[in-house]
Amino acid sequence: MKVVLSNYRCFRQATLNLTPLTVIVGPNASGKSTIVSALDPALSIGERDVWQRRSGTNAVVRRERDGVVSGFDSASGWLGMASFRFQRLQLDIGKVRQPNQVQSASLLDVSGVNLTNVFATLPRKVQGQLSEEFCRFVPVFSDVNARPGDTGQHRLVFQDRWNPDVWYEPGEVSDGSLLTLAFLTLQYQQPSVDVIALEELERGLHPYLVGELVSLLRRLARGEVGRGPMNVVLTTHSASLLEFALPEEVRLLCRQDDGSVDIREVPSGTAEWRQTFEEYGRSFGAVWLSGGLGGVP
Amino acid sequence: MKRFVLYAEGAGELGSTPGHPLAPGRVLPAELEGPAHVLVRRCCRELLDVAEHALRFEAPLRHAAREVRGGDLRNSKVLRRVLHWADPSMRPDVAIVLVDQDGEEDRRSRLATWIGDPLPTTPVVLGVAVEEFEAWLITDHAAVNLVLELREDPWVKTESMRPGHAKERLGRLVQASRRGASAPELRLELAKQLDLQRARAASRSFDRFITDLKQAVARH
Repeated sequence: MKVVLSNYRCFRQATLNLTPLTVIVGPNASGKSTIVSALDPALSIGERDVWQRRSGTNAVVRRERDGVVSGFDSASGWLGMASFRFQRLQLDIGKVRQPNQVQSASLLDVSGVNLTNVFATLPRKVQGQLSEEFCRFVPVFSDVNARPGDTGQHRLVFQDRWNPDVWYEPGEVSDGSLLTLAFLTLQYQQPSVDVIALEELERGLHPYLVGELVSLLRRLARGEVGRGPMNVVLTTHSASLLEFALPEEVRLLCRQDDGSVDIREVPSGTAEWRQTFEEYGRSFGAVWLSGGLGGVP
Repeated sequence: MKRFVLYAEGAGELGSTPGHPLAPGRVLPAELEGPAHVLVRRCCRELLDVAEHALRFEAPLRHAAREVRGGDLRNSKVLRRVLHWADPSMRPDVAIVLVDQDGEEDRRSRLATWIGDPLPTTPVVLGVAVEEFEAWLITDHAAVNLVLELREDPWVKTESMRPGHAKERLGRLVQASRRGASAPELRLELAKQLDLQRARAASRSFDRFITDLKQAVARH
């Protein structure tokens, strides 16, 4: 999938080439969320979205996926109907903890507020698989389930590994545990989506879990797990997440002198990259923190 | 345009730093250039025929997200890392590492071994001031008297001063100065006014630095 951004917010002229898993790296206010919005088939562009709000300037987001063009042109409107299904996740841990009014839900909401419903909607066998997988990631638990409460609500509960009589309420388990469950749920969503964008995956997660989840999302993107290949886009400014990314998966957002943002790929084919990567003990995060790749404040 | 990056041990060489350091690769504005930048600029302009506008300093790489400090230049791993730019488009034409000898006679050979094994793709100029950078700044006795508005008698060759002595002497001279300027301003002014040829003749370490700088610039 390829996305061309022209005069759209901070992107004056930039092209984003997506790999199955793409990791967007940049400082705060460098346009990471803008890229996620550009991926959304429902995107429309208003005057406030035009580069430096210049009047008479035309802002365009043009996507190409499987030969189908879609996007939006601020002058002429829709460029074409997108043929892909899109999901954006910016999990809000306070909402993820909330009990849900019981109803069927096949897709996780952007904030993760309906995680209990999505879990409970899965077939029992799949719930078991998901629970088993979750407990491998967070081995202080031995099971997870949805438990009915009052007034038609239900919430997730987590079983203590060492005392099966103890079930923890959502408010009693760590942020990272709930976020991990939400991320693991993505592979079982039915129907599946074609493009998933996850913002700041690493927030609240131990670096070990970050590595495991990046690996899972790569397999999800390649179609090795889940319901078929898709594009998974992660946004981050975490050096520890970068340790688990492949150079060809990373896109760096670099602010230019005129205030616009450029999207750079890692020059992994160059002698400079190879030498530098070795000097830094093959630590992608450390190379990025040096500032020699761009994508830093 | 010749793009330079300069690593040195402290504010005495590098001058003031902004509250929020510049991202690596950003052009260093003139007001953030210190005495060492000024010396390099002057050497390029006056001795190597590089036009003023054809040279710029860029913000150096960082180590673990923070600015490189003097102690980092004493760590072989960190020193080598900050001389490697992962993106060829961000790589400067010349990287300068400027340190004090500080009584360690083998410092140059040790640093040269660290830097050269294997050589980075970026040309590196290693300057080791004997015994310290301040010795270069006060090498030209006449310039010191002019800048500080003093009438001091000539002193011995600064390279024969014991470690720390040139720094102390400069400190005393600055205190005695009738100029009414701050120490950083006076250091900067000394770098602007000292006679480069006289300094080369009086300081072997400065002469060697200029010779190495010339070779690195000529390669580009």
